Amino acid sequence: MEWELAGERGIIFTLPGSPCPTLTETLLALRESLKAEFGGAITDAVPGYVTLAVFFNPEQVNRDTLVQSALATSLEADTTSPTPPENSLCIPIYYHPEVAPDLEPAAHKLGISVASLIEQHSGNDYFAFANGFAPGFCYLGELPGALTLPRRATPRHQVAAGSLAIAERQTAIYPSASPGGWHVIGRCPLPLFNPESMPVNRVNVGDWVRFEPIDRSRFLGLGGLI
Amino acid sequence: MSGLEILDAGPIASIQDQGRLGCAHLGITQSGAIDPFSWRLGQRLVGNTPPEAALEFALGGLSVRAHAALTIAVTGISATATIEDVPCDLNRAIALPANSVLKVSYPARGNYGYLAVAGTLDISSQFGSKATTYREGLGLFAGRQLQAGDVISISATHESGLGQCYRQIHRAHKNVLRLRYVPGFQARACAGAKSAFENQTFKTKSSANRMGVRLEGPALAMDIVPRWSEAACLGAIQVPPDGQPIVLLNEFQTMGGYPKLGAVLSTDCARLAQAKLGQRLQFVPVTPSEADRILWLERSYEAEQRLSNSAR
Repeated sequence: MEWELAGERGIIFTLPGSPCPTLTETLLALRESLKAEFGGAITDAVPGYVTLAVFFNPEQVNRDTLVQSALATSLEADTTSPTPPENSLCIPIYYHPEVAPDLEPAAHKLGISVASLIEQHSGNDYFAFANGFAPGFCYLGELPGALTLPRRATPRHQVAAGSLAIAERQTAIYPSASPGGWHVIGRCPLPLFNPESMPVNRVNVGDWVRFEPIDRSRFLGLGGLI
Repeated sequence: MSGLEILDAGPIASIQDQGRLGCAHLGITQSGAIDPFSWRLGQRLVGNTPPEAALEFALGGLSVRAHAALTIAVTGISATATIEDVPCDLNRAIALPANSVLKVSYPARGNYGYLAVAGTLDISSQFGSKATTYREGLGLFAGRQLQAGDVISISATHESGLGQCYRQIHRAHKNVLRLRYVPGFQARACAGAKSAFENQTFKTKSSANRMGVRLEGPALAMDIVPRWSEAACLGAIQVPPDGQPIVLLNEFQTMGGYPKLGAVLSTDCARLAQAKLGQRLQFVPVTPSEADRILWLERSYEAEQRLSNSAR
């Protein structure tokens, strides 16, 4: 494991290897271990794909102590890669050009039919690698290889709240209207972030997610906006 | 209960406090006062213990009316402030009589001003803070920026700080503002860019943006780009493909994929945020233990500041 400073009160640890559920479980185990040892001196710990950024109060814990403790943490994770559970978190998606400007162009670029794109995208289980960028945003992977597209050359100024998008081997839902460089292929009618609920994010690191295609009337019935 | 009515919010005004700490793992940004020193000073002047949220306004142009008498203080900027068109002091707890209007001009120095009010702003806390974050829809009016006609209701008003003042020591104008930073993230792998970053000056290319400050200077060539998105932090110096760095401020996106050279000390982030457009900057690396010492000294300095209670 490598580490670098992340500002005056942060350390960012990087695990060797490529993102995978096992690696994420290891990062989460490291987070729990450090929180158990240092308690409130750890002010936040943010998992990325292969990193854990640990923020601390320098008046309560010595930086070197923290690093040494993290390096000494035994992180021999189960080598068998976790498999998707029987019942993944199910998220309804309206895959249709009227809410997804890139659905047809993306299928065209991939050389497959729209129906095939939808079938492949919704027929796969996705692992939640990281929360961040914005509240409710969650980086999900891995997208089937046949659906791999580079990011759009020019990001859109605005994508609608709930837009389901793909880029490289990743997929994600934009929880609120924002600029976006990914290809929008559907829309989710449900809010992804609710500050009044617990947990606040619908999808959290370590979850498994499956998308369920729904039709227009169900989309509208669930509160979706067109 | 009293109310503060916004007659003119100027370019951007919102409610800010210490911000939401410890929420980055949820994707929720820190937000909070861009210049925490000036925010806390205002709270000390009006005698709010513990400190309460204040109105943060960028680039002046603020005009507010008190529905009932309030004790207030304006901090953070050099500007002309008036009550019913009569000039009043900055950095002093003063009375804003019922139905009178406070106006603050475009600042001569600084970008972000703070209007502290003695009492409690009736705004519900979310994740431990009343801060407005527009992008996240958090805070008063679901994150909307303040606008004319808004009324902020205030309870538990008091006069305990009335007359307290702070004689702001204006540092001599610096041709080049030195900002201290802790190298980190990808800095070690980008030695050439790090050296170029430290040995040349930059200019601020944007101001009054709570997400970050864009810099202009010689393009930095980063040797590596993080392959996978990773957490950012306050002050992070990120370098997009065009090589022009951006220093992240309070409303930074919690995760991103741009390479970073390190992070500006939090105390210097406030100085950067208050710097004028086109201000020349130089970045000076400090070790983490130096950073700890600087923060500790700043905190002691702030704790020992004496506010005087002189009559006008």
